[in-house]
Amino acid sequence: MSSYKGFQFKTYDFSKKIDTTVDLIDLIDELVGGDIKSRPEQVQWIFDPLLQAIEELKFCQANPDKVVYRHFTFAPEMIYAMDCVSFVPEALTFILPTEYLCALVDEGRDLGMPDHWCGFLGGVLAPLMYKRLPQPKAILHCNQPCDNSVAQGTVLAETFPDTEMFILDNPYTDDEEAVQFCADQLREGFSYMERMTGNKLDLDRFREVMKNSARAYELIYEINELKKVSPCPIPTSAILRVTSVAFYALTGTERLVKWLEKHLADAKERVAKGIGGFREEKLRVVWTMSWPVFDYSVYDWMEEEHGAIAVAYHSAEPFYQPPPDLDYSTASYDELLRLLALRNNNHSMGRQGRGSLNTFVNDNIKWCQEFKADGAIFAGHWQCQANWSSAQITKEKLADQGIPMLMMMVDQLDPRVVSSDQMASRLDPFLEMLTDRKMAR
Amino acid sequence: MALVAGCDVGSVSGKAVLFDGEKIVSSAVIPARPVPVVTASEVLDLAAGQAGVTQADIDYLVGTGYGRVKVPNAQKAVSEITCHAKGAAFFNNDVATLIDVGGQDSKVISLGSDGSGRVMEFSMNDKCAAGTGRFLEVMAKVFEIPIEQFGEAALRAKRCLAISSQCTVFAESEVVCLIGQEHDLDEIIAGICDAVAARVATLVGRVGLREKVYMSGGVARNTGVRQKLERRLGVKIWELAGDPLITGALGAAVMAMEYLQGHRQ
Repeated sequence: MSSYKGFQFKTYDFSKKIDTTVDLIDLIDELVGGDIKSRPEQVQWIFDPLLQAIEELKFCQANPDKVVYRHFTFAPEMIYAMDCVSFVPEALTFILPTEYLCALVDEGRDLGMPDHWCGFLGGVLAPLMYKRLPQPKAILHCNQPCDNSVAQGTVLAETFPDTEMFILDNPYTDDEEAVQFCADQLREGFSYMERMTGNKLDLDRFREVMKNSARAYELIYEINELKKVSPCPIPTSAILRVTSVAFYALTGTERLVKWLEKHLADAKERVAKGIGGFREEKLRVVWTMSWPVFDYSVYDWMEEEHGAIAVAYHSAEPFYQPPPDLDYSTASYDELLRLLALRNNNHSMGRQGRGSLNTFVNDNIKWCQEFKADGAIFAGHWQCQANWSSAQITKEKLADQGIPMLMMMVDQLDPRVVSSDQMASRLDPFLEMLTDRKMAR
Repeated sequence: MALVAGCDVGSVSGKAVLFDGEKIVSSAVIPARPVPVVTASEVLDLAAGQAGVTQADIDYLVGTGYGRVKVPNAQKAVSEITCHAKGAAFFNNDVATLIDVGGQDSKVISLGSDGSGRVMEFSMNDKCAAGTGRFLEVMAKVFEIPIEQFGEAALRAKRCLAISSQCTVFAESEVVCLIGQEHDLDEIIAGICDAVAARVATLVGRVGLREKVYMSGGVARNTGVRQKLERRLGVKIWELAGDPLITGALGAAVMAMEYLQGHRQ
């Protein structure tokens, strides 16, 4: 085990030969789903969105006629409304065990993927090109300004030449014109989906999906309001993987709403009792860009060593915009399209990836201020150029608010780029500095 | 009177300082052993012996440096950033920017203006040998001269040849070529010192320059690098009122006293 100040971080055995041709969905079901199901029931519910996502993957395997590929910043509600299921190739890399992910990245490099591309596309490039993944009936892509996203569009177009692709042009601004611009495209998107899937859009179904979606956002807003309390009743690290899966992939489903209702009840109870996370809260930090996915024990170490509780993760937290008052039983198609456009424009990472840097910077200031952050951490996913371009200005603007920000490079998925120990060597002095600042106040 | 210690286990050397709360009682520096625990034990024994005591007489011990978790019997392990800032402020309470260029990393620390050694901001390079003592060691081997002579050579040079500051491996190849082309050796060495200064100046830019600026770490003794850095930054770089090599260990010792006296939890 690798250790930092005696704390045991995860280690990996890269010497083991990995069969990259195994069915990745079966693998995830067995290893990740199996692990969750082996936990006590009172804990299992916390991970339900992951189980739901895995079930959807299994559904894709069994129902190829319903599979629609989706870019991870394209809201899933459209697909649910068309009685289909979305498949996000990159999402597999988020859930795969690290050794498998790294073996797939290496396979991608053998195919000529440049070294500077990260694991998100790298981890699925070979499975895509060798058609080891479910085949799409339709492909919903967008113009997210990320090398991986751009390349992925090309890969999908070349790998599935007989499957027409719909590409959403994300608007630059955040005004009413931008919403209408997106809504008009989504109208075309539904026509595209009808053509590609053979399904007709059922307006009642669309109403139900958007009602669930709006409710999910209302609930996470309430939960986040509670997380602003000190001690934070639910340190985000405890459920980060789960909420990010939930809001990237499952909004529009009734099952997610039920989970969020339970999550909210738990949060209210914890606040009423003054309960925080597992460890004493001494510092509150907000992660302002990405976060390392390959080793969650880094967050445990931060809490154990410094009492540093991660209260929010900018790129994972859904941006809350109150949904308009709508009678979902009678809402018109235009009203629903507008709501979906609002939702899509504010999708996690999509909101941050499009438009002016002001959005990224101002959102981060808002998160840090409202969650009463003692400090911020910019864990820049390497080669994420769009977001790295915001790093220095974010740091300076947060400094103007009296909030120090640490910049460090990571690969969210691949520990071979920056290991847990290396991250800790950056975090350690930063958290010491925050502690000293707090003591001096 | 209480006796505390700080032990800085680095990649190139191990340092220890014994401190009584007011002054340095003793200090020691040894070349690093392959095993950090051994480095820590030996350098602490040496420092304790110089003070006429044993390790058992140390009331509180703080470890720092890359091997800080391996310091036996240390009550705390504290990052080098924090310790270097503390140590520098103890030597000179007007340090605003501290540049530490060590064996395998370099860091720039901006300190609070109250003289307490509090860290306000920092930047570090520990992923690449360029801009660190390792870069100079590699080059010294190429010239087959002791690294201690690098500074004088750089100061003698009439001009400074441009050497890559991006990569130690590439820079080494460049230097070998330049020597083969019979360029003036002092001018090549001046270029090497400037390459280190260029990398360090970038780190300073990230943190922001505030005066007064001091240097710590082994490379602080390299007058060539210091001169080049002064030119690049446009400010005078002051010398700490003590051995720059023990700054981290001293800071760890100062922290040890703070912990012992309950000023810090």
